[in-house]
Amino acid sequence: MIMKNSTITLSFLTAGLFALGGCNTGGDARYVDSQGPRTIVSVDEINIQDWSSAADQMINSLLSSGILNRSPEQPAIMAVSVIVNDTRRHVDTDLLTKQIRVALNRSGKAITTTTIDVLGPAEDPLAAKVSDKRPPKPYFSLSGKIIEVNAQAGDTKQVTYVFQLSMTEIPTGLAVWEDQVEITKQGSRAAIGW
Amino acid sequence: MIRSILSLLLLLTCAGCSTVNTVEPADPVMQPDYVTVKQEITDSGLDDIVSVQKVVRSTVSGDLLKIQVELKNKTDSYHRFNYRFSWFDKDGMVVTQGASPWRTSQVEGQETVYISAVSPSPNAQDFRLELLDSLASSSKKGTSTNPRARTLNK
Repeated sequence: MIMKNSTITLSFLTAGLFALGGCNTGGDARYVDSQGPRTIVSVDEINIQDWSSAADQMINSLLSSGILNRSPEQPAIMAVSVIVNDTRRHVDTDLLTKQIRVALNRSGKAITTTTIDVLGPAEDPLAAKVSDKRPPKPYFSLSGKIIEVNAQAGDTKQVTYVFQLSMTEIPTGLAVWEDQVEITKQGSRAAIGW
Repeated sequence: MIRSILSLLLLLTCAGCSTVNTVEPADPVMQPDYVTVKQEITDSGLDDIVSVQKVVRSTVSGDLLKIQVELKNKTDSYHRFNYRFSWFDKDGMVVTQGASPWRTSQVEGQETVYISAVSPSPNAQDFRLELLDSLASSSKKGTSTNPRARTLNK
């Protein structure tokens, strides 16, 4: 009985210590705006702000070009084709293409089909399977490549990420819009804030 | 001797200086649609370095507002800064839920750079540009709780 009481007391004490520990652990984790300049800048990887910057520049270029107005149907229907990752890192290219898709959708200039399969199943396989209608044929196809170029001088490393995108007009098979965004970072180690 | 010392001091002072020379037509053909702006300066230090020269507007893709801002580095030294655009509809509401991402830019001494953005929606009627000194240059850890921002309203 005494042993049982001791075990219960010990359990409460341990739980209390853990609870108090949670009040002030001395850690410095905090939220920062993922779109803001207080994020981490790494020399050897594509940071969240790099994806946003590349997408933002591509969106501005694409909307400034006016090529989306070439589609007889408005808003134009677009499909996302292959974005080749030619960097040393595994990256999810949706970090680039999704921002572009969202921006084009909000602008009212283009909508993206999710029921066409390119290299695997369609983005929305359920909709592709149960839809009675044939998926609308896209007028534009977005494709591209991400390339990494490295250089070093002493302890200073430099990496350039080259984002290349093309918008192909499917009826003609011609790339009616192309652009390239380069993001270059230099330093010896990661830093907070930019 | 004094002249030598002064020359040496001048050389040392300008060691980080690198300025830009420019050439452009004396009689330009372009007819920009200039925007009259008002400025709210909260960081005079940044304004003393990177100053807004001209703001031009145009329409792209039929109905989207495009803004281009000309910025000049008034100093002889390289400088980095951040900026972002916000967009408002005719009722003063922000047209997208989140603001545009902060972008970084840099200018060499006496260089003029152009930053531009296209509105995210045809509903956008007005814009605001915010300029913020690079956190990397003003705070080593980038943890300042009072960002020195400057806004430019149309």
